Amino acid sequence: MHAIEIDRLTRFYGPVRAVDGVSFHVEPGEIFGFMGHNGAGKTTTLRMLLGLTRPTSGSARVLGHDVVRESLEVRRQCGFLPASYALPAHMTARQFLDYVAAMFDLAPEVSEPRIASLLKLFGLEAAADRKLGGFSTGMTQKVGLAQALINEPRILLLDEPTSGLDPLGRHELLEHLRRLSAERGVTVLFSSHILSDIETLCRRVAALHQGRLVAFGPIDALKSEHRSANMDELYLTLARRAA
Amino acid sequence: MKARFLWLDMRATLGERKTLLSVGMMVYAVLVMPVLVAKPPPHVLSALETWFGTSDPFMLSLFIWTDLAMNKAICVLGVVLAGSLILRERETGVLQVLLSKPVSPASYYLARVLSACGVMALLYVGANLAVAPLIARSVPGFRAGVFFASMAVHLFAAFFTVCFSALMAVLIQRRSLAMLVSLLTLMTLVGMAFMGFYNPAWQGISLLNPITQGISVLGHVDDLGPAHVLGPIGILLGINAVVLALGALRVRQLEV
Repeated sequence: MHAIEIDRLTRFYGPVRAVDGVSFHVEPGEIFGFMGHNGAGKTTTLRMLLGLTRPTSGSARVLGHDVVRESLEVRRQCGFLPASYALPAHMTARQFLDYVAAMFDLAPEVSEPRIASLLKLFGLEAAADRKLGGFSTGMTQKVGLAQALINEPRILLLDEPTSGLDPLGRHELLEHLRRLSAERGVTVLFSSHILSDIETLCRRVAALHQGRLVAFGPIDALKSEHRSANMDELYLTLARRAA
Repeated sequence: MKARFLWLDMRATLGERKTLLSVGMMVYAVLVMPVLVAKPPPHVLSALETWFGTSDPFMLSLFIWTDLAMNKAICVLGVVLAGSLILRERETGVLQVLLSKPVSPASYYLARVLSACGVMALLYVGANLAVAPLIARSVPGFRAGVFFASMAVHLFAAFFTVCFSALMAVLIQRRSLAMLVSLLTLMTLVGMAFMGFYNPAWQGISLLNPITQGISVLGHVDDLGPAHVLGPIGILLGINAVVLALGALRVRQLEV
C-alpha cells in the first residue's frame, strides 16, 4: 500500500483550475519532494490531502483512508505545517502545544513529556512560557513544526517548511526530517520552491506547473531524461515545456 | 470534543485582551450600581410604577441591575466574546493549523462557542456575586433568593447573546459587519424585552424574544415558583441549542 495515493485530483476555484488531474503516489517512509513555483497548486493539493479543501473531482488516499470520507482519520495520522500561518498570539508555546495535544485527545501524562521533548528538540525550552505573539519568524516556524509532530505522525505534510528559517535553522530542519524518516519511518511530503532543499533531501519528486503535474519520478532519472545538470535546470526545462 | 480541550480553550480565552475588556465592563457595572440605586433616574422610577405597579426598593434595584446593567452588558460581551469566532482565526491563519487536527469544523465551532459561554458564565456569576452584597447593604428588604433566581434565568439569555453572535459571525463571514449586525440585533431585542410588561397585548409575541425570557422572573417577584425559573431556562436552552446547531451546520461547509 502506498502511503499517499493521488488519482486525477482536481480542484477548481470558479473558472480557475488550481489543481488539474494530478496523479502520483508516495511510498511509506520516503521523503518526497513536491516542487513548483508559487501558485502551482502545491498548497491546494496538500489541503485536499487533509480534507481542508474538497476536491472538485478525483480522489486521494492517505494510509488507505479516503481524504474526503475519512478526513478525521487522515488528520489523526498526519502532521501538517502550512506555508503561511500564524499561531495564537495570546498563548505561550507550551500552552499552544498542550492545546493541540488536547485536539488529539492525548492524556496529560502522554502529552506533557512529549511537549517537553519537542521543546528541547527545537531549542525552545527557554522560550516555552513566553507568548507566541513575541516570537520571531524562525521561532514561530519551530513551534509550527513542533505542533506538527505532537501526535507522532506517520505522515508529515510540510508546505514550504524552510521558508523563514535562517541557514542554520534550515540545515537543522532538513537533518531532523531525515532522522524522522530513517529512524521512525515517517513519510514526508515536502513542498518547496527552494529546489536545493528538495535535492538535498528527496530521492523522488513530483513537479506541478499551473496546476498540472509535469513530472513525477526519481530526481536522477528526471535529470537524465531532460538532460539537466541540476534541479534549477530541470525545473526550468519542465516549466518551459509545460508552458 | 473532550472536556480537556474545552477547558484549555476557556483558559486561553481568559488570557485574551477581549476578556480583560469584558472584565472591565463588568467591574464598571458593579461599581456604578450603588450610585444608581441611591439615586435612580426619574424615567426608571416612572417605568417601574407603570410597568410593574410598584415602587418597592428591592424591585427597583433588581430592575436597574437587570435592565440598565446586565442586559446591556450581555449584549456587548456576547459580541466581544463570540462575534468574530472562526473569522479571526481564519484571517490570521491559525485556523488552518487547528483544523488540520482530527477535529471537524463543526466540533471546533461548538467547542469554541461553549468555551465562550463558559467565560461569559464566569464573568456573569462573578459580577452578580460581587454586586449582591453591595445591593443588600443599600436596599432594604433585599431578597437574595429572588435576586439569584432572576439572574440564573438571565444567565441563559447571556448564553444566547454568545450563541447568536457566533452564528452571525459564521453566517455573514465578515468580521466587522457580523459584529455590527449582532450588536444591533441584540440591542433591539433588549429594547423590546419589556414590551409585554408595558403592553400586555404584546405579551404573547414578546415571549419569542430570548431576552424577554431572560428577564421574565421580574414579573413574578412576589409569587416566584420553580416553574418561573425552570420554564424560561428550558426555553432558552432550546433556543440556544437551535442557534448553536445552525452555526455548526453553516461551519460544516467551511473550507480553510
